[in-house]
Amino acid sequence: MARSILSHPGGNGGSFLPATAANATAAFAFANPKARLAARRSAAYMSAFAQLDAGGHLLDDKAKAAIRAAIRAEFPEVSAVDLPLGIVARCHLGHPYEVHTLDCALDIVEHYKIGQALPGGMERARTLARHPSYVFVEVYLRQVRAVSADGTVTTLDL
Amino acid sequence: MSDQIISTANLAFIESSLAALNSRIGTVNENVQVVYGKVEQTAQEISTTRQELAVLANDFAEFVQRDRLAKALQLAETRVVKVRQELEQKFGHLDEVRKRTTGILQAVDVRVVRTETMHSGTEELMVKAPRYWLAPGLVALTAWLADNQELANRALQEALRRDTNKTCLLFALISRRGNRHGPAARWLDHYFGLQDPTNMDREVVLLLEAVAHGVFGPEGRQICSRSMDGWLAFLTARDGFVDEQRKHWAAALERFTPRQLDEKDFSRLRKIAGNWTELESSLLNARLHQPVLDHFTRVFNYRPESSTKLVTQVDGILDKLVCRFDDEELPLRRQERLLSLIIDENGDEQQARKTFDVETKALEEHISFTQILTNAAIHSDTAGASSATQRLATALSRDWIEAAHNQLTAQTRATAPASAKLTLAGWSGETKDGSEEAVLVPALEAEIKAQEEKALAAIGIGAGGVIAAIGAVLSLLLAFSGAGWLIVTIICSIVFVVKFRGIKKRKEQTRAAYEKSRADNVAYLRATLAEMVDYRRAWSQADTVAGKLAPLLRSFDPREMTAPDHSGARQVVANN
Repeated sequence: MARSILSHPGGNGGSFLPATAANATAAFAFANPKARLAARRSAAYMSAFAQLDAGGHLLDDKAKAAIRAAIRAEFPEVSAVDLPLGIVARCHLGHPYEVHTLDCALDIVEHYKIGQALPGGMERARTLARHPSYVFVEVYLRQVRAVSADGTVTTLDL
Repeated sequence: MSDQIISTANLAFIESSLAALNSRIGTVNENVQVVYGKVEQTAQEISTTRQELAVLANDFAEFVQRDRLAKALQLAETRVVKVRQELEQKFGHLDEVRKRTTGILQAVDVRVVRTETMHSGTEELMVKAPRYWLAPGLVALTAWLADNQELANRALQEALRRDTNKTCLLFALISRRGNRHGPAARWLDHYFGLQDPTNMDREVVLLLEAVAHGVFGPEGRQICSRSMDGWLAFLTARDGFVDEQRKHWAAALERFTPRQLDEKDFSRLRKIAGNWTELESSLLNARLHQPVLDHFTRVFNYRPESSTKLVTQVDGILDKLVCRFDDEELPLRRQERLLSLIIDENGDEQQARKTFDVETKALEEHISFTQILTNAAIHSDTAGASSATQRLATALSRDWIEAAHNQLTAQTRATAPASAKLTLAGWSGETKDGSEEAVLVPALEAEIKAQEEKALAAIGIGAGGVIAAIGAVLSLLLAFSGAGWLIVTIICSIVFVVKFRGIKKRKEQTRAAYEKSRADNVAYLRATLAEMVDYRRAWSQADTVAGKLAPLLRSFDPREMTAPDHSGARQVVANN
């Protein structure tokens, strides 16, 4: 005769088990600005910065508005003081130009030659910006965030 | 007439005096050479003595180190015996419970032991081990086999009271072994419900094993998957959690960094690059990627063994649960482990402690679910995880691994030295990639030329020569007042001529030496620049590997990581 295996006490023997102490695993939304800044960048955001090389030194109003809109759309929950101070990217204008920067406050694109120092703490991002694995590098007060072509973000305390 | 006679006599005297003087100068010169030789010899002897002294000091330091290690080894060997004796005395009975449980599980499978035999003695063990959870668990098991439901329930209550988690897991595994997936899944559900994802028991690693092996059937897998997703969602939502995980994984991945380069590699750069330490460290950091890639490729390429072997592994999971040390034993077990490591490391306590600290972290009693994943993924040996679990844990942690690896890679790229700072023969220069030969070689030659000119300019007749020249002129002016001055004039002239001839010779020697130095150093610089080209190439090749890890990690879905079901488990047979 087949014998029943020890049944678990869930039916009438539920008192065997203590109440579940930590099954509070309900999913909940979080609004963490730091996590947002570290998250993958959207395609729209990536494309907003793609044409900086062609734009000359001063962006026109349309380009400025597009970049501002891309930044706001990308980081809706991030306060203005925590947004990137600027962007450094590889320059495709050719030798002797090496990198260009976008100052997010002034909306000015500057192209820099080899050996020419970058202003406003952007020099920290130069080596990474030159590396082909990154499309551009966002510069913050205490960190830099290197962004790959697929939007992956890598944060470094530099 | 008389003047002529005197003059002739005086010249003969002067000539002989000059000959004698010349001979003496020759003798003095020889003596100076001898003294110079002696000084050289003494300098050589001092240098040899210094070298011997350095060797002696080195030997002495080595001796002291060996002696220290030998004593530490001896002490560890003595202590480990004592600790093992204490373990046997204090916890020997727990071993007995463990052995008996294993024996009963095996005996049931092969139907060679009567129920009474299995039952006899188990209650005695219960008395011997008043706090051990497995003792009432064993009574419950044998009571169930003897069809004594009342005793089984009472024993089960006691086992659950002593350790709910382990009891739930034990009966989940036993139910599964009896091919009863319904009860097994319900036991598992309770087991998972008891877990706090931030503070889990070590046994959860066994759960990973079970899921990875697909031992709980579809019901069990569904429950596991649901629970794990919930735990991960809960943990990921916590502030700073992702950062913490990334740092944790970065530390784990950094251990793959090679320790040093081959000493034969870049021998010239090592010698003349002032920032060689940074260059070496950067290349070693870049060479982290290949071993990391190899590790994860190996982990993901693991394929669960054939069903026969897998059933044995599933038995192994139950074995592990039954045989795992109790919390009470852990302090002594840890002492024993540290002492064993000191013995393994031949007395090197520092090294042993390093390994021990890493292992201890893997055996911490309460850790978060993610820590369990990390342990299973990286320290699978010490965490008691199998290759299948390692594979699942790695797949579940892949986002954090990728983030950590990206960060290490970016760090290496951001801090890569922009150039090698070279110093050679008093010249300094920088090379970014070894392509600057056209600029650097002329710069080195110019420096050597400048040094040569400076050295040539420094070669003169010296103070003696100047005095001799002045003496010759002055004495010549005074020669008319007395013949003696003429002798002085001649002597001074000779000294001046000797000095003047020496200048020419020394200049020739100096030019030859600098010419040789120029040729040697230029050749050395060219070879160093070639090494810099190799260095940049090696760095780039190592760096390129970094891009291969993310596609590998992303190609594996945790849902595909579990083995197919092996529900054809052994029948638990009741003896009637």
